[in-house]
Amino acid sequence: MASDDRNLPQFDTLAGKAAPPLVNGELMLDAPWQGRAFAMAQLLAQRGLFGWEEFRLALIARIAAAERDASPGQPFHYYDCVLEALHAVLATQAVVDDDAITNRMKQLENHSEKHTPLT
Amino acid sequence: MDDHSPQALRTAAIESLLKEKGLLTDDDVDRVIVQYSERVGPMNGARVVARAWSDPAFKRALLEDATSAIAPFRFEGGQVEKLVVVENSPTVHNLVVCTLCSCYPWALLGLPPRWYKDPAYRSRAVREPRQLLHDFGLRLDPGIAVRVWDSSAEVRYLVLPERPAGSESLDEAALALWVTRDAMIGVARAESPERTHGV
Repeated sequence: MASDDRNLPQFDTLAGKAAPPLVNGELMLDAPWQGRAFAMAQLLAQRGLFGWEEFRLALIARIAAAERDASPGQPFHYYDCVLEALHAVLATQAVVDDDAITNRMKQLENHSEKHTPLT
Repeated sequence: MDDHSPQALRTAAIESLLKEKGLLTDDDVDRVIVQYSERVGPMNGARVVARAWSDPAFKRALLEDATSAIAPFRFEGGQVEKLVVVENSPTVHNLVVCTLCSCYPWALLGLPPRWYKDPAYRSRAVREPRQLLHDFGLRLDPGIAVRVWDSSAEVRYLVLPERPAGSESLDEAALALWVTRDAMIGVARAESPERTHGV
């Protein structure tokens, strides 16, 4: 482990609704992208591309919006909010812009399709 | 990419753009994700160890009746029914195993590492603990006695490692960052600020 990883913003600074779901103290992740999105937020905040507090507030705002817009009985997806908050702070800080992300998503999607075997 | 969901695509797109800009390397994200299981999961246990290092009264209570001593932490997870904490010293090193299956103090250490469930670990911990520790990179002086504790469904063990050199000025929260999962199982020592920074 790189020694500066010790200084990553800690989960316990995300309290209340902004706290990630934990099982036995371990992050509960349903898909690999969820851990990657969270890890990027921690790494970029540590490197000063945005403040952890800025990310935290963006996350709280996304969670509030998701709760407001949810229809009754609709499950809450914490990591969707993490990803949206990450996207939002990256755009606000002009680290990467929306168009670049959209274009790259299309490229990756096309690339994936080409590599999907036909059944 | 196996996962073609919009979220997976968006995450991959952001990561690839950040790498292109030199803001992340290939290893960065993987390294942090490994920490989620090796460091965040065991963080509850690390807090207990750090408290014991900082507070002699808590340490006495912990060694006497760990189940009661950790109750105020209010850890979730029912796996710690009876917890016994065993203390390392300059003359004694403790090692935890579950020879029958993989009993493990989940609430304190998160999910057990794969090797903990491995038959080789389970048998070697009893048969040749010193050689096993050597293979984990822990060379013990012949004068240090090794004690092996066999976990069961009723009793879970946690090793209280020796407080590392160079940690004298650290408070409890900072101390906890030097306590690794492996040190609390007994296959490693607590990491030392002195060793890492070469002071």
